[in-house]
Amino acid sequence: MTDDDIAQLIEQGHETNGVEFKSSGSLGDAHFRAKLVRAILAFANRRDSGVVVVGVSENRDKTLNPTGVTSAHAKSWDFDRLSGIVSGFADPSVELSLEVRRYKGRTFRVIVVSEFAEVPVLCKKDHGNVLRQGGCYVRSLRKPESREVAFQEDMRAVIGLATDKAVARWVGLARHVGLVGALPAQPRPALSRYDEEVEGLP
Amino acid sequence: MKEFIAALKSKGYWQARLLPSIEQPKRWGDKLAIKVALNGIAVNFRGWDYPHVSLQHNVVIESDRVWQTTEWNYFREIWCAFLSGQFLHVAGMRADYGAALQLGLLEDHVEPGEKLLGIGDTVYRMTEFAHFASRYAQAVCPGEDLRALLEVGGLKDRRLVVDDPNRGGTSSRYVAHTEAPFTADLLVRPGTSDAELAREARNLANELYELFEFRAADAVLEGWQRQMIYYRPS
Repeated sequence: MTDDDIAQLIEQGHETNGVEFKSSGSLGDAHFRAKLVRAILAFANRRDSGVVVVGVSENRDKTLNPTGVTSAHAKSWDFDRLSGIVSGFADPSVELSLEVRRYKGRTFRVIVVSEFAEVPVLCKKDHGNVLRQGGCYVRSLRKPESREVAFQEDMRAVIGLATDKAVARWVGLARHVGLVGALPAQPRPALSRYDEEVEGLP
Repeated sequence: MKEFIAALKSKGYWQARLLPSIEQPKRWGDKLAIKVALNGIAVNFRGWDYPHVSLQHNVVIESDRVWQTTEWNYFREIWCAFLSGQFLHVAGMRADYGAALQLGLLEDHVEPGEKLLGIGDTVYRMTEFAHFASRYAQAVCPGEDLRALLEVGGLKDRRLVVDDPNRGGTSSRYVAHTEAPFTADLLVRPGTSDAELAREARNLANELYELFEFRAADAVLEGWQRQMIYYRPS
């Protein structure tokens, strides 16, 4: 990720399914930590995962205010510390990286999360009303927010991703040991009917 | 819609069409569910999803299709999901709408009005295209082949550049002279691995670069792919 990537994410003006903004905060603040962990767990369960950008607050009119991470908060930020915090809640563990990026002279912390490798990541510990033991956190497909699974399509997306990965592993292994050969190709579809649809556009 | 697409095609553009191999009149059961379903399979390797499914804006629901347009900043695109399973996506080249490419250190000066195509942007877009086609096949016609047609237009007099300030630059100017768009016709098979899709994307990128009489080493393009923010090939 580059400073230009961060500029582009901020200039979109709002969160997306792959991006969550957080106001400047200290890793020493338990409530802030819990919210950060919730976002990280949600991204780990999302296809293509996502990033948490710390140092961007939201104004009352919902516009973004990229203040950067304050120098007082910046002292608390350290990869090992962040990794340890996340490990305390994530089962299985989450692969992530922490980057320092600049935008308009201000400094931001960017957490790049990887999607889970084999099985969805669940929360293994409660924290107030932010995190629940056994909870499966996701980025909702209905609006960009990190939350515990509440809608059927969100649950299907997580199950679908886990299934895809399991099937891909099985196919890879089966190919490797010669159990699966190439499937016979289906004939390529004629374009005529599909062309008619495009030509019929208003 | 046609007007919007024609406007996009008056400049540089990327067009993808995805066609299930077995024709059926109705692949989508619920038109209202299409937006959410697409949002779940859109590829998000670099901060802006492919295709861009805006949750903030409504889609247009018509008798046999659902579609949405985006016009924001330097992003111009339209997607249309037909009930038959056909998917159409057309996007303008960002550089043609004011996106500033961060050029390689040794790239020649860019003349005002000069049309550019980034080497990195191309391999990124091909990677997004191949992965989305595969995900779309899995969601819409699982277990079947999918025909994926790609068209890249507005190439004439366009210059291929290194679009990464941390890389060098090309040793000479690579400019396309073709009026005709670049086209590719892929067959996406069930069970294609991410690594195979990534390789296919690199091959497509090199086929497009040929129009500029340029060729990149496969390992170099793989390096570009790994540079994408969230790209973690399994």
